[in-house]
Amino acid sequence: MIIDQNLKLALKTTVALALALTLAHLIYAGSSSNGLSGRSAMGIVFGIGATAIFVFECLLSARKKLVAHRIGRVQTWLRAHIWLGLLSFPLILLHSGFRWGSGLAAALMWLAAIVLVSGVTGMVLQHYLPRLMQNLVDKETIYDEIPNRLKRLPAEADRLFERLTGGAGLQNAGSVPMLRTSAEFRAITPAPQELLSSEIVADIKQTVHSYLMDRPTPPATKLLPVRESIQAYFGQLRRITPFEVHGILNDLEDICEERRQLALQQRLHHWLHGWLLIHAPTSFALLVLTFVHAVLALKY
Amino acid sequence: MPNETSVPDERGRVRSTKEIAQRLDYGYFKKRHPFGVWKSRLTWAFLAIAALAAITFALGAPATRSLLSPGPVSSPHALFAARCETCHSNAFSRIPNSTCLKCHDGPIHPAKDVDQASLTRSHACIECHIEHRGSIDPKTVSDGNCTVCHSNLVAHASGVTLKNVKITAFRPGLHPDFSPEYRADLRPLKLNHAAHLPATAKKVQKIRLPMRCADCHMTDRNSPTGNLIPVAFDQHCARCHARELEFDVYELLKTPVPAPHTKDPRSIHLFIVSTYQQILAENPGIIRRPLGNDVVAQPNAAAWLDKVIAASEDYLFHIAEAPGEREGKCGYCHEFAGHDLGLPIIAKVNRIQGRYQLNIPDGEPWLLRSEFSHRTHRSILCESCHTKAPTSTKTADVLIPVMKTCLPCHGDSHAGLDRCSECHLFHNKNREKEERRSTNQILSLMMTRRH
Repeated sequence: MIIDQNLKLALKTTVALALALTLAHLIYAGSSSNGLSGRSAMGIVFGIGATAIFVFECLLSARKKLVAHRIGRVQTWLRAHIWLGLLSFPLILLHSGFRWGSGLAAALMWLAAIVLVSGVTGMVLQHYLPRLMQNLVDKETIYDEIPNRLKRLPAEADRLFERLTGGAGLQNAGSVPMLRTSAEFRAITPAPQELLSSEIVADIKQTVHSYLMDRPTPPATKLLPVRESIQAYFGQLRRITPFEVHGILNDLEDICEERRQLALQQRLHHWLHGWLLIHAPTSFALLVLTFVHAVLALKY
Repeated sequence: MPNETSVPDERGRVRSTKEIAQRLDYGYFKKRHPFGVWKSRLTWAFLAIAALAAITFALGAPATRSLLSPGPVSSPHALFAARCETCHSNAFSRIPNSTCLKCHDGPIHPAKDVDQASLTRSHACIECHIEHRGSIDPKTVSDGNCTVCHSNLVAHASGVTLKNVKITAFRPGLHPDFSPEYRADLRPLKLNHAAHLPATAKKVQKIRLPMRCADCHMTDRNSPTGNLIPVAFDQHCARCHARELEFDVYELLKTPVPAPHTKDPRSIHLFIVSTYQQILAENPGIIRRPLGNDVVAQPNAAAWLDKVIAASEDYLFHIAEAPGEREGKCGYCHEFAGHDLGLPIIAKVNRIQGRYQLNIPDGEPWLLRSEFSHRTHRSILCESCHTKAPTSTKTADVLIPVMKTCLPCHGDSHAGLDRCSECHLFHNKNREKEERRSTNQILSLMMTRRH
C-alpha cells in the first residue's frame, strides 16, 4: 500500500476525527458525576464503535479471499482497514477513560497496541521496501523461484570452473540437467590453463563455491557480503590474471552478484511480509477476547 | 545497476531459451508460501488460545476472576474479593441497593437534622460509591455526584430552605461562607482572649502570659476526631483564677480559702457562713477586734457574723449598676440574671463544646452542615486558623475560622482536599439503624450464591 495523497488525506481525517471525539468525551466527562469510564453511556458507545471496527478489520482477510465478489474494491477495503484501524485505538482509549486497566482489560489493551504498532509498521514497510527492492535488486525474480534459482547457480559456476580447469568441475550439478547446445560450446573459449596458477584457481573455487552455498561460510561471507566487495574481489582477480580469463571472471562475478541480490530479495521479502505473522494472529485473538470482555463486562 | 566495466551483460553467461526455461520451477505455485503457512498456523493457535480463555471465563473458573475484575477491590471489601457474586448477584443488571444494605445502613440524605428537605428521586448506591479502584476508598465520592443537585437544590429536592444557594466547588463565590460567621456566641460568660494572649510576654501575679491555647482548650485523646474537652473552671481556670473566689476581705482566716465554684450561690453563702462560724467557735474573742477600717468592734457575735458575711458576699456577688462601679468577683467572669432573696442569680453556663444555646443543654455544633476533625489538623498551630483569638475581647466574638482560612490547603493546593466528601456527609448518621450480625452471618453473606 503506497502512502499516497489519498491515504494521507484519510489519515488526517482520522486524526481530526479522533481529536473531535476526544473533545466530545472530555466535555461529557466534565459534566458527568464520575468522569471517564467504560461503564458510562459514552464509554459504552465508544466500546461498541471500537468493536465494530475490529469486526470490519478482520473481514479484510475474507474479502481478499473472495476476490471475484463485487463488494467494493480490495484497495478500498484496505484503505478503510487502515483508516478505521488507526481510529480504533483512540476509541479504545476513550472507552477506557485513558486507563490501561488490569487483567483481561489490560491484555486487550496490549493486544490492541501490538496490532496497531505492527499494522503501522507494516504500512510503512510496504510503502518503502518495494521501491528499495526495485533499486537494489535488479535481478529480482519471483520469490518462490528463489530457492530453485539459488540451487542452479553453483552448477552454472561449475561449468565456468570447468573452462578454467579443463573439465575438472567442483561439484555435481545435482538434479539439474547439464545440456549444452553446440552454440553454447562454440561460445565458450577454452581458457589457456597455463596462464593461471592452480593456487589462484583453487582460491577462486573455494571462495565462490562457499559463497554459493545455502549458508555461506567464512571466508566468503567476509569477502563477498556487499556489491562493492564482490566488485573489489573480482577486480583484484582481473588485475592479476591474463585477459583471456576475464570473461569467465566476469561471469563468475555476475553469478555472485545474482546470489547476493537474491539473498537480499529474500530478506526484504521477509520484512515486507513478516509483520503479518504478528499482526494477523493478534488481530483475531483481539476480536475474540473483545467479545468476551463485552459480554462479561455487561454481565457484571 | 551493474558496473559495465566489471560485470558484462547477460550474454556473457550461457543463456539459451532452454536454459532459461529450465531455470523455472513450474510447480512453485502449488506449494504454499511459508509465510502463509505460518500465518495460518499462528492465527489458529491464537484463536484456540483465545477460545480457551473465553471458555474458562464463561465457566467462571476461580483463577480467572481476578482477570475479569476491572481493578482491585478496596480493603474493606477484600474479605470477599474472590466471590464476585456477593455483590454482583444479578447477571446483566446493576448491583441493587439491597445488596449493599445487607451490610451497610445508608440513611437518607440530608446528612444533618437541621435540614428537612427530601430528595425528589432515590439514588443507587453505586452511583456515588465506585468500587474496584484499589486503594481509593469507596467512601471517596467525586464532587460531580454532589454538585449535580447542589448547583440547583430546588430542582432536585422538596422543602428546600437554602434557596439561592448554588454550590459547584469549594472556591470563593462557588461555595457559601461558613455559618458561624453569621452567628454570635451568646454564652453568658465574660471571656477575654486578648487578656490571656497578650502580644508581649509578661507576668501578672506570678502568672506567665501569654498562655498557650492548649492550656485551656485540651483535646480529648480518646476522641477519633480530636474533639476539644469543654472548658471547665476547676480544670482549666482554677489554677490562675481560684483566688478570685477568696472571700476573706478582713483577713480573718490564717490561710485564704476560696469559696467553692458551684452553680448555686446559696451553697457559696452557706460555705461562707459555716467558715466564719467555725472561726468564731474557735476564737470567740475575735469579735472584739474592729473589722477593717472600723474603729469600734461589733457589739456581739451575731452582728459580727452578719458584717463579715455581708462584706464577703458583697465582695463576691456585687453587681455594678453604674459605670466605674466595682464589680463583684463573680461578675468578673459571669453574667448575672437578677437576684433571689438577696443572692444573685448567675446566668447558667452549660458545659458544652459547641455554640451556646439557652434551650439546648448540649449546645449545637458550630458547623451545622459539615464535619471537622481537630485530630486531622493537629500539626497546625491553633492561631493559624483561629486568627481572631489573640485580639478577641468579647465572648460574642466568633473565633471559628471563615472559609478563606481553609482555602490555602483545601482549595488552592490542588491536592484533592477540596472534595465535598472531605467535610460533608451524605448519609445522616443520626438515623443509622443499629443492626449487628454475628461473624458467622457476615461470613455466610460472602458464601451467598447468585440468585
